[in-house]
Amino acid sequence: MDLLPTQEQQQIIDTAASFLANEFPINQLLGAPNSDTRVSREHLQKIAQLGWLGIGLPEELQGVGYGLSEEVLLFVELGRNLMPPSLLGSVLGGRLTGLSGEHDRMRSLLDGDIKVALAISLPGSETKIGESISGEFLIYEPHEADLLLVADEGGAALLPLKSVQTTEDDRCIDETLGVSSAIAKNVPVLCYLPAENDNLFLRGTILVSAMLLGIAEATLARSVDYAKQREQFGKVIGSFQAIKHYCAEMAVRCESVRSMLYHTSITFQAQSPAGVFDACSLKALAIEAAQYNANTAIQIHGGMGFTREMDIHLFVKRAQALGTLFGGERYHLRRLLCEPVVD
Amino acid sequence: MNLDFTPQQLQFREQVRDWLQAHKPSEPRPEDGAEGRAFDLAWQKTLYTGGWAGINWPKAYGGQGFDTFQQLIFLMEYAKSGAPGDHYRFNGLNLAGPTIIACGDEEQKKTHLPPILKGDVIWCQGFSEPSAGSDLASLKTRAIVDGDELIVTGSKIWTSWARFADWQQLLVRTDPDAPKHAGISWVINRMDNPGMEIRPIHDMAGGSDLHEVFYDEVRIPLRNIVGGINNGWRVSMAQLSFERGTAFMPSQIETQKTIEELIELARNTRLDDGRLAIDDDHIAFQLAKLRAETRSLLAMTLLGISRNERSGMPGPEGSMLKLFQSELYKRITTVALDIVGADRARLSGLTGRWPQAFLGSFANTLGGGTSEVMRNIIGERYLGLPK
Ligand SMILES: Cc1cc2nc3c(=O)[nH]c(=O)nc-3n(C[C@H](O)[C@H](O)[C@H](O)COP(=O)(O)OP(=O)(O)OC[C@H]3O[C@@H](n4cnc5c(N)ncnc54)[C@H](O)[C@@H]3O)c2cc1C
Repeated sequence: MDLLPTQEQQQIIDTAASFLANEFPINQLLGAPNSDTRVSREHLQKIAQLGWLGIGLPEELQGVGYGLSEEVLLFVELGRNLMPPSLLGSVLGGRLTGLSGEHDRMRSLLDGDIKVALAISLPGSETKIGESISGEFLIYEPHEADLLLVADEGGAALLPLKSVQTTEDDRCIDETLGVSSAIAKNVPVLCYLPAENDNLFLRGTILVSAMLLGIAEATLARSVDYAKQREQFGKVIGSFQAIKHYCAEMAVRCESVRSMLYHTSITFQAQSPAGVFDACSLKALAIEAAQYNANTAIQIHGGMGFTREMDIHLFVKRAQALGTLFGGERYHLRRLLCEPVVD
Repeated sequence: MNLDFTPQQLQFREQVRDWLQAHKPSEPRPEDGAEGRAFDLAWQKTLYTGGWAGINWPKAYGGQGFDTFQQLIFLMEYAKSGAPGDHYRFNGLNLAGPTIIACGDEEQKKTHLPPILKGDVIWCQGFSEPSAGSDLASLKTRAIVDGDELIVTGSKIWTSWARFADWQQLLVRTDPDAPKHAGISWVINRMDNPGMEIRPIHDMAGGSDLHEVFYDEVRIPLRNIVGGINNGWRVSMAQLSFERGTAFMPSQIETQKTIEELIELARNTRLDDGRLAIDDDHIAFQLAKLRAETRSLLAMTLLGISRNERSGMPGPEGSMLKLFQSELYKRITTVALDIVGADRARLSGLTGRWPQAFLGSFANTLGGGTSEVMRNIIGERYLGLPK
């Protein structure tokens, strides 16, 4: 039993962190509204060359051959650096096509030649996801995307973006992401993978949770740095308990979610009964942690936190957007309560 | 990153399970203090005879010398088995004993460790004073060296189990002129030492396990100082790290049992509008959230143990666990009141345990360091924020 990352796993973290810091510095996002194109097609291919899109796929499917534990480590870093959710679309799309025997399409996905947008079902929509899909959806990052991935507890489907009727562009709470809404009526899909074969919905849940942890950790780190340097009343504000205790609360949330993320990556991969229990627990905790930490970070940064000169607001917004992917807090809590007790 | 146990560890788990099933007491622990003491000591004797006392203590002093993972497995199985909690044995097993192992001399180890494991003695902790609570280092109980003895005068408060204890780990001021952390010594004191007076304190949950203890020129041999004179602060800091390490495993599993029992209760309890409590959204979401948090408590414990195992010593992360767990327990008991509704007014009957637990839960965020002090520690030692 050792819940900490191994040396090899730590390398995944370190490599991802330094690549992202060099290639996608967050200040790129400042003052550049609607940067759906932050990860251009060339960027996506470059990322693909690192093997990231197939990191958790077995080698016989031309993946890197790591498991979910390695995949979550990568996604924490992606979340921390505000990388777009379409990367999760590519990873899940690769898995969906690979496990459905669509090897050519899988290859193009893993090579970064195809961009996959994620969509969520809108409130009130009568959604059906299967060999064909119906419902009202909100599509994240529709620009430049080729395919659309939708999933629910029954299964996951991939279809051409063009096959659904998208309306005018909407404005996303997170200005770094484009959104548009779409209506689908019995639109046939390219491939559908029932959850019994591989539960992409819960895998997505876990990977989004990893991204949310990245946000919780990034906003804690920024807050602690700021609290150590900003002075008022002749002292750094981090010496005031009101601020210190906020930071402590943020740290506890990070510790709790990171522990659960590691735990879940193992129980889910092992397909143990605890996997579902853990995934639902994780998502609820991750949403709360990311939102509490990001929101509190604004308060800690004072008036500067409320401006666009700093990047904290981007985390607040991203935390809200990510929370909608693969089931919100209420969805997962409701489901968790229906699960049998686990050891 | 793995949760695997080796075949040997799994076999060990079977052994622990079987032994506990066969030997754990069938009758509940008596409420009365003196009877409780007798019960605790008898159970400790049974553990000792069975070869399960002092799981990770050195063999030379009666322990089993098992490694961290065996300890973890033992504690998990122990808590699941429903065997009696530590109760009055807590201090000797988790605090005083480990401190003597870490900082005591050979004579102290030989004299004091085996009786703890054999179930001969109960220990208590005399740290806090009326004017030294969170600010423990400001303690004033004075100890003057006289020949080969210390003469102790002063008073302690909140000493759990004092009137049922044989021995005490006591913090005294041996150098009043030194800076406050530097003039303290950690000493071993007999509870029947002449010059001591012990008065129980009645707590809000109906118990009287807390005490005031007064010292009037109490004589303690110098050889009972552990870790050297004026070095008591360092010695007691070593101790707090045990308190916030694996010592949480049992209560973590206890918390899991409690939340599951509460969910079960909600499935069977009708609210005043006639619906089952579990069908009330507000209650359901709170319960689910508590279930998720309790689950992460397990994961946090495992991550903490993994970290300690790699670094060789417990870090400030233990304070996060202490804070998280005690606050979580408090929330659980508050939701319980919501579920039992008007029955919260009755401490008797089938649901009486829930308002009783609510009253008791206040102790958790005070004892062993308050939640505010935990947040200070996390802020200062873990995040590096200035004092
Ligand atoms: C059930 C129980 C069992 C106990 N058992 C023992 C025992 O066996 N042996 C023993 O020696 N002691 C024991 N204690 C004492 C316990 O350690 C103290 O109660 C605790 O350290 C707090 O001290 P205090 O009660 O004096 O409160 P205070 O320190 O007076 O605190 C009062 C309030 O002020 C806050 N506060 C104090 N300082 C700060 C600060 N720096 N920053 C922010 N807030 C602050 C506290 O958090 C608290 O809310 C026990 C206590 C309880 C409740």
